[in-house]
Amino acid sequence: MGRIILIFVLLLAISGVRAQDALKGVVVDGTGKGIAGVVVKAGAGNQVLTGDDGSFALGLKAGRVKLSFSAMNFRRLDTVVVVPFAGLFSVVLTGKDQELGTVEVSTGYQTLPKERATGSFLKLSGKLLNEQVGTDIISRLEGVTSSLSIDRKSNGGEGYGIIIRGIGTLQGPRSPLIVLDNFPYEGDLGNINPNDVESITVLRDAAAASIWGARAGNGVIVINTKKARFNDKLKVSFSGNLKVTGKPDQYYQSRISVGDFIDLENFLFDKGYYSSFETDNSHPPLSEVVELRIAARDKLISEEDARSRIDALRGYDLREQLNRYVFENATAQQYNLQLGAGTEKRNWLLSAGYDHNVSSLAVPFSRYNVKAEQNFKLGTKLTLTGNLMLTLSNSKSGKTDPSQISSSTGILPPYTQLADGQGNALAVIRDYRTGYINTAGNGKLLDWSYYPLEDYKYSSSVNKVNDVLASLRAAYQLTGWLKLAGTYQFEQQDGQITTINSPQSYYVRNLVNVFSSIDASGSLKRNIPLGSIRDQDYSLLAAHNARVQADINKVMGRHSLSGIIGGEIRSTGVQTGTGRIYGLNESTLSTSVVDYLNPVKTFVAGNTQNVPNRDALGRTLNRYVSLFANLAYTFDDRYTLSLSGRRDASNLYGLNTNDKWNPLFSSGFAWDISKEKFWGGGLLSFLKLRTTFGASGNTDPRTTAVTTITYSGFNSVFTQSPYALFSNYANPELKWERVFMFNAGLDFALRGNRIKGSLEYYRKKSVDLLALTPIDLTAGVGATLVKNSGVISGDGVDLELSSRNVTGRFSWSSDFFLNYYKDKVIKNYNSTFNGRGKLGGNVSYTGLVGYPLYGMISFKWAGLDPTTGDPQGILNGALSKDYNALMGSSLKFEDMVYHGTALPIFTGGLGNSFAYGGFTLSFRMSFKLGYYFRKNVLDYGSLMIGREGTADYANRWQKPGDELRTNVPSLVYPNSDLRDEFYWGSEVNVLKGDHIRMQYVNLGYDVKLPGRKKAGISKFQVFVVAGNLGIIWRANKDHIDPDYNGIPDAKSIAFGFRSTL
Amino acid sequence: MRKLIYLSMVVLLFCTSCKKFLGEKSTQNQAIPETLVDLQALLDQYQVLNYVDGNAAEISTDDVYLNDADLGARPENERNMYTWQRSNIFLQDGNEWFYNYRAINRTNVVLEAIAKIGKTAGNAAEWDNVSGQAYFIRAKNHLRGLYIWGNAYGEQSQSDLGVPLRLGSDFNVPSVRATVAQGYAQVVSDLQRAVQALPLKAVHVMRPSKPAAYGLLARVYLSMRKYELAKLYADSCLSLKADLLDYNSLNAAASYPIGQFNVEVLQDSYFTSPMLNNARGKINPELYALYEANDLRKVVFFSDNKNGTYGFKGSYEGNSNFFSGVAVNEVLLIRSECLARAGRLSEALADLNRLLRNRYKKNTLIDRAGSDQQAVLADILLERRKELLLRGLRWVDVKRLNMENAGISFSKSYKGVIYQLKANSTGFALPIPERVIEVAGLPQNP
Repeated sequence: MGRIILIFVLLLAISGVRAQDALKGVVVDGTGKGIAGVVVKAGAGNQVLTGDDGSFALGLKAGRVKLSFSAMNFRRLDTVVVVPFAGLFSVVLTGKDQELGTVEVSTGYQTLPKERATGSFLKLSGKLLNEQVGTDIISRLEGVTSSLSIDRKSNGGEGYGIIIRGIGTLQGPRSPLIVLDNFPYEGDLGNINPNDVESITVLRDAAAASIWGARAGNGVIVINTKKARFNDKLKVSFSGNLKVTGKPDQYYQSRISVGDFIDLENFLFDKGYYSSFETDNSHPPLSEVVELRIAARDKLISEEDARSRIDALRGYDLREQLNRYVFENATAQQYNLQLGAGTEKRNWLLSAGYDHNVSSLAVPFSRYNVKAEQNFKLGTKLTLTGNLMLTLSNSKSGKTDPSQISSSTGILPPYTQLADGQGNALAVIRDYRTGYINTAGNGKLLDWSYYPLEDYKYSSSVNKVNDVLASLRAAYQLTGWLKLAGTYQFEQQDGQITTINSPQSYYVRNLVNVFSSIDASGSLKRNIPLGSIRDQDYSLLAAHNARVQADINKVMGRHSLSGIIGGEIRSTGVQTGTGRIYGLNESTLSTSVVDYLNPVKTFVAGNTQNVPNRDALGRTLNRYVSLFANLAYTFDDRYTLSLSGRRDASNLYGLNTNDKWNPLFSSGFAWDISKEKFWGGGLLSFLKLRTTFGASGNTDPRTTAVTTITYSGFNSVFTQSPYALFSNYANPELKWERVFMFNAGLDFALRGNRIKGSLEYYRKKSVDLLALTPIDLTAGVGATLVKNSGVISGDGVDLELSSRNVTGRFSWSSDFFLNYYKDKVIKNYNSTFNGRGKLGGNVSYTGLVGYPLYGMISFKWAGLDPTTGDPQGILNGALSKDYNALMGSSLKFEDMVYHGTALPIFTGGLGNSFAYGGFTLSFRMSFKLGYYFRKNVLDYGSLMIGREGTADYANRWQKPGDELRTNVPSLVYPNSDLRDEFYWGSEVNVLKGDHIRMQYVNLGYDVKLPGRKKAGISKFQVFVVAGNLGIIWRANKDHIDPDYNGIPDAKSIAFGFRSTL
Repeated sequence: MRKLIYLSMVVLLFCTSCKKFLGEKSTQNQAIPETLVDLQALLDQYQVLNYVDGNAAEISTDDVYLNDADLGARPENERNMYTWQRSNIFLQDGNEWFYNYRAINRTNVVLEAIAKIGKTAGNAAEWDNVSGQAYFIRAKNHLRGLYIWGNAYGEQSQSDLGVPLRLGSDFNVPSVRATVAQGYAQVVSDLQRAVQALPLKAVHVMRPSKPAAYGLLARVYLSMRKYELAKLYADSCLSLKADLLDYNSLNAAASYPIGQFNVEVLQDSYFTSPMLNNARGKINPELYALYEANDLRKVVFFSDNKNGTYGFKGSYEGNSNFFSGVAVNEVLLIRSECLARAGRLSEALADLNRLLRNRYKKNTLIDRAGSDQQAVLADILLERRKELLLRGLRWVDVKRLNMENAGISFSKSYKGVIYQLKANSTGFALPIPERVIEVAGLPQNP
């Protein structure tokens, strides 16, 4: 650490070369926006590059000086200045091609012209992102962003699992780092107003990690918001849109039919399957069919009556009820107003956004965004910037989805009725048998029935999030080529969830009843007072970031050096708390106390329990200190050599100080071939080769070098002392995971920029990969543990093309990207174990050398036994039904089937935009090819225990000969879990995942209102967007969307307008 | 230039305070276990130390049976265990092998950390208490493993394979099955350390105490058929705590008449079994028939299903969970048996009668008497079976008694097939979970 500081100080000291009298100026484009990286030249040997904001300072001798300004994609400008020059020398450059102006990419630390970069950057313009509408910005990236895919499966469908360029780590976080306006964004991404986003840059190669540190090992997404501009007249824009999304398709998922399910229940009843439920003193709920059969058996109703009532149930379908009574179309409204203006010394931008959504379960959500930015120039050297972003959002709970209700006997039966013919809510089974709740306590207890269509009205929860993000930046131009800047950013997000369960709610009624007792004399005692139960959870996040940075831009003749060097500290603290109040009277705000200490006998099972206590607090604090440097040397505008390095230290628990400092580096080289003398012009007007190589290290933040424990938030109710669990087991053998990445890219443009694009090849290699590895249960730390498990490598190719096919009054442009990525395991330090362990699929690392990280492997299928309908496999080359052995260690890999990878090898997207007159039409498709997935399979065990099964039940083997037409095993009783598991893992249930999806279609029209100009409206556009249009081609014939575990997002349509004054 | 020097100084200043800045804890409720408070907190996580004793020992006897319908509704591995199959009788991961060793690992972490803390005059009592608890828990879990996966203790124990003895927390150390003799020796040695270190009385019976450790030592020696030593430690235990619960004071009509943490409990732990509890499990009619009419246990222990079958409601947990800790009644019966085996019949009968007076309706007990050693012993063993049912003890009692040539076999039927576990057969050492065999490469029981 000390050495680094020394180097840092030395570097700063070297910069103290005496400055000449400097000419200060700024280079801007037609819109007044500063252009970075313009070469400002005053004769041989005296030149500089402009900074981020287009400003420059150049030491000059007094007198008339010829100046030339040149930049990629801009017309060169030659002019004369008389030195000394008072004030700011302002130059406007006009673009060579206004449509395809210079592309600047932002790393979050610096903005640089793309053609100067050696790394792999991908830029998405605001225009492209605005082709879609929606509350958040991240959901717009899929299908339009090369190298980026969204994983909806392994994250339980919650949130977005963004993957950039394949998975390089198994244990560390897989999502890229999100940087908002130069700092990692710690708050909820849903807070960001999409209308404030100017552009997004994706950092894909080793340069990303060497700039942003270990957290960026999976790439970085840099979001830049709109900025105020100097010398700009007042601009006002206003936009709004309304999006309507359809109800989720209840019939998408394959479900056992009502008739089949009733037949199965009858079958199980006859086998005595339910008898132990009847005698169970926890009174588990039984379905209507089973209750009717019990009543008939006990002669309470006639057999005939039972049969006819059961037959009547065959006419109901819960899915139809869900569609009719529960789900509705979701709506989302969004409005945004933005104002901005600038003088020579000062500029400002103000924007306000409002969103109001109602989900398909009637969950209302509102969000207010305010953003304000101001820039001041104090003198010629100092610029001050202040930025403030406020977000207020709140949402309330909506309806309950009855298909998610599950009890000890499973989900609701498929014939459950939620409402009667008149639409009145009906009670459904919940925690106990209907007969039990009707008689328990002889009427002394609270009503114990549960009405899913009504109950949500009595249990409501409000979720409020307030977020403040404020930053201050001071930039000081020390000398002509050295700028110092200091930035401080503060973010505070507080979230509060308040849930009130009123006394009418099932939650309160059930809890009060369970904690009631009735003594021999018949008097009732309630250990939980009757009244509302109020839960309050809060979280308070406070993040401080401070950064000092020196920007270097030195040109000496044909040599130019640019770079940054700096340091930053970051601290993110989160405080959380949960609490509960019992017996709340909402009208008087009086509360009651309960006895948390002494266990009481519960009403149902008669065992003792403590009244649930939710009082708990938590606090985490993450701190980082980082030093970074990024230098690029360019010779003659043709060759660029870049070097970047970074060291991070954190307060991660238990790390030794040496391990705390994590060094990362990358180096790169770029060669602008088209600037060579021998480049004769020809078809290609621009050709550039660039390469980077870098290394980064990953450590699972949860795996530290020492054993750590976590104190439970509650004391033991017995000893009244705190108790603790293990949060990490020390592994002295654990090493850092090292990830090496090589990237080579070729950027090209055809003459006239008709076709532009880039082709990149990259290779990732992870050494000492940290993976969840099976471990001996005898060690006592679990079934699996994070260990250094092997070496993997992956090769990828990214191709991006954009073309202007037709220009003129009617124009047509296209863009296309294709990503290829394939990885394989090179080495596995641990022996693989049983056949089951090799199955993998979407979720687990199979560790088979020579095969992909996530290979799709299955059991060989030998058809159904023609006499019993049992699934059959192959063990040691012979037919077998010994499922324990078939899935155990004796199964050889040769007896299994390797299909391919579980992650797509090829992904891509194609967008087309047409314009004619005021009309624009864009549509976009995406595809994923070359992978396999395992479909949902009929599992007799879950069907019996949890009432969950697929429609395949109807196709099951029932009689000899059926094995010729079906692979669905016969129903056997008692059921064998291993038989189910073998069938699930067999090759017949693996399908090809390949598909093409229509992402969206956007139709826009620039309205030429009469008198529009007079009203000061410079632009008024209306548009309609159709989204989530679904799959247009798929390889599987089962109509499955392989991207989703559950029901895919429904189609949506949005209408909106954008206007500018 | 001067500006730069100032700036460098600021940077330097900022960096020297780095150490403090980064020294702050990242998660407030996390700690490296290095204080006695931390270690005690680890030993107070009752969910993994007191609530997950295994049920294999009880499912593998024939004290409880299920009818065909109820058994058919249970998962495959439970059905296999019930009928003494030799494969797929445990769950893949969350099985009792793992639960035993998870507890053992925890005690090893505690014992390694406490060695670094060092005992001082100021912390001696607490230091001893924590280390004693760790030794007790380690012994108890190794012992349960020996009972289930090892053969009964005897002359051949020097060569019979028992279970791995994990005495350190490093999970990279491969597991090796120690011999049964090594296993028992380790258990005894751990318990002797526990006895010395534990306090006379624990804050709560969820934590072990000196009498509990004596009681467990008595249980160990009894199962090793070292009756003199068993008697010695039973004595030590009972001299510290010998309270008995008078069943006359209980409400036999209650769904669970016996209270949790009652006066007899020396150390509390339990196992659960949806298979054996009174929703499904029916008491073997032969066992039920052994209780006399005046024996309160007949109504306190059993719930009448009103169809000629009976369920169990006599757990010392006061609910449907099965008590498997250490209690005074067990220790009293150990002493009684050992005294009888030593020929000290009147003392043996005194212990037995003292217990039974608290079990029979007031003034109905005709004191047991006799001068024939075998008859008295048989009576004591019968009362042992009636008193200590469904605590996981019957399994090891039968293994031990068969070493004494008792010739006890188990028998259950399912779908018309009679399944049997013959006395002294290899089936009395259950197969080790397949997953352990596969990953650790341990030799399987035959």
